[in-house]
Amino acid sequence: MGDRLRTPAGRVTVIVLVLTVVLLIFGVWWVSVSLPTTASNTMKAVKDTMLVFSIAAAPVMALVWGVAYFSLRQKRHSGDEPPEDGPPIRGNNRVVLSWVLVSSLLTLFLLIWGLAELTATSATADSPLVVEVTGQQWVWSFKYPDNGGVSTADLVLPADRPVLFKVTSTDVIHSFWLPEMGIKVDANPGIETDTATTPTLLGTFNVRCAELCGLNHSYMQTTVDVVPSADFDTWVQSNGGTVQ
Amino acid sequence: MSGQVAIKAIGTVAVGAVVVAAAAAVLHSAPKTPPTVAAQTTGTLTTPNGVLTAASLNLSTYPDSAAITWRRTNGGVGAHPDWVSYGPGTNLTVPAHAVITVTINQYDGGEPIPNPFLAEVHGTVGGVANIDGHLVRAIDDQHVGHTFTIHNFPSSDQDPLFVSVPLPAVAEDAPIVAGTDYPAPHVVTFKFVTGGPGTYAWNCQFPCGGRYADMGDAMSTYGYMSGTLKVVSTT
Amino acid sequence: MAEATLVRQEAQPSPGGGIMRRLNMFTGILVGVVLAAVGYLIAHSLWSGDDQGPDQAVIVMEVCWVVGFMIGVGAFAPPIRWILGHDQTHEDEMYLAGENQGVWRYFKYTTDHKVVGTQYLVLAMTTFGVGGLLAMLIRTELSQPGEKFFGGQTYNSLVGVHGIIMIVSTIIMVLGPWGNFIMPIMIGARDMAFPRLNALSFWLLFPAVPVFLSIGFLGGIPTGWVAYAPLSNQAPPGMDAFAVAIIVFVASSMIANTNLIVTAVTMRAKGMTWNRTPIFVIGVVATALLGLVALPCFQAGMIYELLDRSQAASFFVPEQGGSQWLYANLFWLMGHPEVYVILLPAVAAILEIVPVFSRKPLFGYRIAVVGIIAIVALSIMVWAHHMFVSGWAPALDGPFMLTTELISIPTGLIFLAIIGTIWRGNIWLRLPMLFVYGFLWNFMIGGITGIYLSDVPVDNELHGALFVTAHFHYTLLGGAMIGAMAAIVYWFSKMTGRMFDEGLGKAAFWLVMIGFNVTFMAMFYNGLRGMPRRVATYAPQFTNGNVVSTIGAYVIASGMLIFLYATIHSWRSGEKASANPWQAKSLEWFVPSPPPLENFEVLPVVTGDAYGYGEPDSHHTTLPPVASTAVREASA
Repeated sequence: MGDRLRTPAGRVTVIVLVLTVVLLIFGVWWVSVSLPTTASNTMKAVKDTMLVFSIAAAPVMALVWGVAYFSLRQKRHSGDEPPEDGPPIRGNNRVVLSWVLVSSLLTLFLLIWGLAELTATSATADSPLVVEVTGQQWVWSFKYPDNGGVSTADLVLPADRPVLFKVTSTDVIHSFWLPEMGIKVDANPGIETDTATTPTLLGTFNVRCAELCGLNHSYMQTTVDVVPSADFDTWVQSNGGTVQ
Repeated sequence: MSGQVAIKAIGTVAVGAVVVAAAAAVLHSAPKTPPTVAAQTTGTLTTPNGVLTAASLNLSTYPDSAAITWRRTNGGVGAHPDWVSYGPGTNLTVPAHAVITVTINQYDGGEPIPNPFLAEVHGTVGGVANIDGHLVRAIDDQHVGHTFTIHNFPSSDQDPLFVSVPLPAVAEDAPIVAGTDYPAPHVVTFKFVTGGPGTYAWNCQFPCGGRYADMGDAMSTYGYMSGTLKVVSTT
Repeated sequence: MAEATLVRQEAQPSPGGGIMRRLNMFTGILVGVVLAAVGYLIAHSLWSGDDQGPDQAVIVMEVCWVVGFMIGVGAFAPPIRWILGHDQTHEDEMYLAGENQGVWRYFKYTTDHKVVGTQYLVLAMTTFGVGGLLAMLIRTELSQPGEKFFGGQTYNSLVGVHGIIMIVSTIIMVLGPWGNFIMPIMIGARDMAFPRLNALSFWLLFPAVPVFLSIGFLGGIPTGWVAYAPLSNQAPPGMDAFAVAIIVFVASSMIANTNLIVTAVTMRAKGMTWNRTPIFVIGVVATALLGLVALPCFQAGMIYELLDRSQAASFFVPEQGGSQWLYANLFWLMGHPEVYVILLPAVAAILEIVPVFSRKPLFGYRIAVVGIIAIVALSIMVWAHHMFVSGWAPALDGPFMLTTELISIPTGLIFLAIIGTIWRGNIWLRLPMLFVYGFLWNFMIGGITGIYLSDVPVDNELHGALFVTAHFHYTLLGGAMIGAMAAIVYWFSKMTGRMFDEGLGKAAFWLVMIGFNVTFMAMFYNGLRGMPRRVATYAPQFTNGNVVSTIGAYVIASGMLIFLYATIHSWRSGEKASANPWQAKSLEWFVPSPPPLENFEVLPVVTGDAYGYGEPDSHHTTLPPVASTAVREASA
């Protein structure tokens, strides 16, 4: 075993393995610490996917960087004259085939995971809370058609109830984004687009416009309050609406 | 690498920095916006939330920018005398923790507003505005002239502040007041309460500009129908 | 046949050329400005009352500038002479090729591919500098929350113009200088297939640059460089200038790409079968083909946009039966292939450089070719991954996710070719190889982050935020631009006859690498945390990340400025280079540095491929190496 490790292939394998571990730790840490609070089931799916993809990416990055670094350490020369020629290896069919096979399997895995997740997150719930979102240069307004048409600039949602956003625009393309809930859909003039999620965390989160829409695009932001169901009913009634 | 070459390399970086600084300075001072309009403090008010400063702000909305003194004297390239405009200026300063009474003289005509939400009054004291002597919560969304809307920019640095007041349109056939260029305006008065210091953006939310969706031209140029609102600490 | 005498007689330019003797860049500018002014005055007086008057006037002015410039620089002279029956004589052709005209030939309508390549390099670096200046202004504004330096209006224009200038600059960055200068010599030709079209493609691009720069004086643009409708319909006349510049730029590109393809396909030296063609040439041809197919979609989109704005057409106006999604599709049909047009030439240069500095043959030449071709083919099938959140076609989410994730396979093959060459090689760590390593680091990160974005639910969270911005800067700036810089330092000696200063180059490399990774890692972080892109101000929680990004950006700028100084310094007073300082094997290293006007005394015959390191019996050509004592200087 010791002899094996001392061959170039053995040593580079060790480097690649070490690098894989480092990148795995970094990838998992990075995703956990950077993404905003998970406030919905959709956001949880996003986080899980990013974790899985980071784990899948780590060995690939480690292999490329490991080989590159190892070769540099092993046989580095500088100076005005080139070093002597290396071995005339023009290809290696086994290496190429394994590489193509592994990368295809990885891609297939990512694809299946992605499709499964896509199907899961686009499943429509029965009787969601419907909120009509209107984007306009440069303000969001919301209407609750099933609650007597309550219209407001503050988005309030009950926790643990599926919500369906029907989004449109009165002028240019905007993008309705709830960063903590992992959903985003463009607001198009003359067309209605949908997105849906189920908020799972109480608190105040952000609503941002994610498509440059002119002068005050940076200010096209507001908040979304996720409150207990009873508080939501109270809020609806205090705004002149009817509870479903 | 010789010392001379190193110095010249660093010199190149320095020249680059100077070019960037010069470009920044030119771009910073290039746009022409009217001078700042500051709210006038009129005293204090005791409210259930404590003693607040009282201040007032007077603005007007005109069907063209020729009415604004600053525009007439500072026109030049890029001036658009035919564009609608707020006056006398669009960069506003108001005191923090204050009740601001805003009076807007609305001289312009109008049309139906695409989003009826903005024909309603939001964020003011009592949720009402005083239009020509009547307290209202909304106006007819078929005859909207402009709005005054402050964008709520929530962050840990500044308090929320969302105010939106619609300004009704002057009738198409309203007669011009003798001695002036404009008809009698609608006078809209409302109050809102400021929190701590911060910088906000405000604009008219009624499409009164040009080009697509009437949101270009005046609506997309600072100094006409959009500006900044600075809430400053008075202590 | 030129003579290698020690005492050279001062050679005169050939007596041919006719009116071309009097026309140059300056006459072009003169005629362009005059015609633009006349055009604007006429248009303004005719149409100032119309709603679309300002747009029509600006369009007429910009088009008159371009046409006037082309007249003044002499682009129309050869065809008009032909119509009038004055065919080109040999003396005319030698004059047009710039023989014995010294530095002046760079300012004229010169057909010599080496001159055109040099012109492209200067233009590419200049436009990159302008784009970099705008980037510094953007990062300065973003260093603090609030619109402290420039208002939102100015900021949006900065972002939009930065984007389009950088796109133009990086598209031409490798194809322009090295596709023109090196590729013909690399295949053993004396010039390109269509030398006058070569001059045309450069001089058509030249006037487009001031049109881009005029955007700021015409009200700017409120869209990003993607110019989405219907916001673009709402924009001030700066948008018209943008559209005209794109239309002209794409025309120039199409001419250049055609020239590159025909040259590589028809003018390879005797014995250079496709199997023996260097990988750089394959990459250039594949890119040119891709650009030819994709860029016209953008041009079409801009033409419709001009019609919408100036003739009240309604291609993109939903309320009148048009569709903003028509624009988005047209744009991204160009937009995705276009990033590969930027990337592939740089990758091809890297693939050409790695064998030289590992002293090993290119590992898997055929695999690299397959990878390049597969990337080209797949890249026209992935465009709607930019439109996942648009709501245009949710049913197509799955298929586009499939094609996008498939692209990672041929990209992986390219990586395999690179590290397969490096593995067990004797790494000669000169300046070009340093940039290769930089590419490996940056492009790996860029590529992996693209995989996150290809997943639709993750894209729903990350689209329109800074994660995307960091991803494409990692691939385009960190990948393609670093590859372009590798190409510059690798072929610099061939183009100028002097070595690129290694000390300065290393300083520039490290500053750019460190600054770049600091800037865009912080940007990934802010993007993940929820900061949108193209915003002038932001919530305070994003401040720290932005401060770090801004500091990193200033470091990048220092590195790039040192690179600029190194380029100028080396060009003027660098160490004189021999014909083959890297002891490489492709044909361009068998001619003096810089090459004489007609490249080869005797056209070479090719007997093997250019990667025969470690194979003493394999030779690329029967040409002898250039004797080191006879270092020639270029004609004048």
